[in-house]
Amino acid sequence: MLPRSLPSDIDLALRATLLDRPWWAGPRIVLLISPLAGLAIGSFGAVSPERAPQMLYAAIKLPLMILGSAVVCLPAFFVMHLALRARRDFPLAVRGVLGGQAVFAIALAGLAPLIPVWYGAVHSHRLAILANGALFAIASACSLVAVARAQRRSTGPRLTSRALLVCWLFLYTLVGMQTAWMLRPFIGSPEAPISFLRERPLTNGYVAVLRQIVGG
Amino acid sequence: MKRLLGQLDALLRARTTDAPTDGEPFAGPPKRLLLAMALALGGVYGAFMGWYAVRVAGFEGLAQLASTTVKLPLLFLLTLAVTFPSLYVFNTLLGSRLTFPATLRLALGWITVMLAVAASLGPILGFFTISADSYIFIVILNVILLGLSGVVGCGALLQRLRSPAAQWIPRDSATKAPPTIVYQPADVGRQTLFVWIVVFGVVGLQMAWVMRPFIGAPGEEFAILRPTGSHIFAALLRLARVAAGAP
Repeated sequence: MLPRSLPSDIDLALRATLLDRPWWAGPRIVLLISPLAGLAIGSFGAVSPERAPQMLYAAIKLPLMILGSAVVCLPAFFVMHLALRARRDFPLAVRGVLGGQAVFAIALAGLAPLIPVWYGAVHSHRLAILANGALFAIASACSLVAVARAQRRSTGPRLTSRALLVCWLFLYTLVGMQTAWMLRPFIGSPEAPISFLRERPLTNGYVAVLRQIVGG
Repeated sequence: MKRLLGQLDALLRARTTDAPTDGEPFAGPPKRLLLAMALALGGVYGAFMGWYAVRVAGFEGLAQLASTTVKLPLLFLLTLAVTFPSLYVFNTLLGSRLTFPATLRLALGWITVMLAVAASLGPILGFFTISADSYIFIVILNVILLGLSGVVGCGALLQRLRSPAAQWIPRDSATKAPPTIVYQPADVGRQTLFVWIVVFGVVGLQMAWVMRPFIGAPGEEFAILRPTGSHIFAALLRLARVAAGAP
């Protein structure tokens, strides 16, 4: 059922050497591996059968979030390469970024078994959110390590490739947080009914969080 | 039996092959045998641990003894099952050369070494169980003995992580050269060990809390598992407050 090259692809991605494989090897890892993490993230309070669909929803939404954000960012990334006269390095940079996304998914799935253990220990929705925040932060750091390693192969000036990496990080974080907001809920508040998306998904996450803080 | 002890001996001496290959750089027992050894050695220590219940409650304590004999190795193996995926991810990201199966064998070997050391300390625990009957003393002694086996096990793991067979230099896609082994600074091994200890230690503590009782406090009813809720750190905090004299 699973492609036979998947284990070796995962290994190569973690060593930032996925560049030797076809371009779709990275997205394929995201599609096949990140749903495992989604299952774990959605398992909050899954002891009751009516909360079980949340696991399935999170498993479907997680790869959408990871790949969707990248698709939105790539055109701007391309233009940045043109502007900084690094057009030649663009294919390599895209491959590096796709490999980084694969590492993100692998790290999420690798740490995912710890999440149900945490849920079992704390029984609190707020602490569940905190744990998931930590999970995503660690996975992002892992992914960053892989992208930076892959970028060392670019032939352009070191400063340019560094600047482009920072640009990508900024863009992807900006877009990724909003995508995550639109695709919420992943964990599922115990008070809210189970749903694939919240009632008004197309709102601005940053404004909503700001309102929460300011209280307006 | 003699062959089995020979395999255990090879494991404890952390023998590595002279010509490491990508897949299996370490000599020693295969995974299935490591699993069986871990179950048996953990069972030995578990039996000594559960003996206290027999000493306190007589025949009725036998249930606790049997339960601890099974649960102690399971505690280590279940913790590994939960943490292993993340251990593999960190290990590989930090630059280890080991593949997924080889990392699994390394981790299983690590646990087996810890349990072997614990089993060797079992008679000491038994000696104190006969001669001293304070429950708190036995609890603290168990923490010390298991901590000691953890330290020795981690030392053995560090040696393996630092061995040239475990170091990885990524293949250069331009030249398509095969992976080369070079001696790297000891940091890779040390970083990996640090991450493994933190992840395995924290999850292991919580797992032990979920799977309690192991010793069985005198006067409490026997149960295979106590009803849980909360986590080990809340329990430790409560204990510290009580120790500090809070109401």
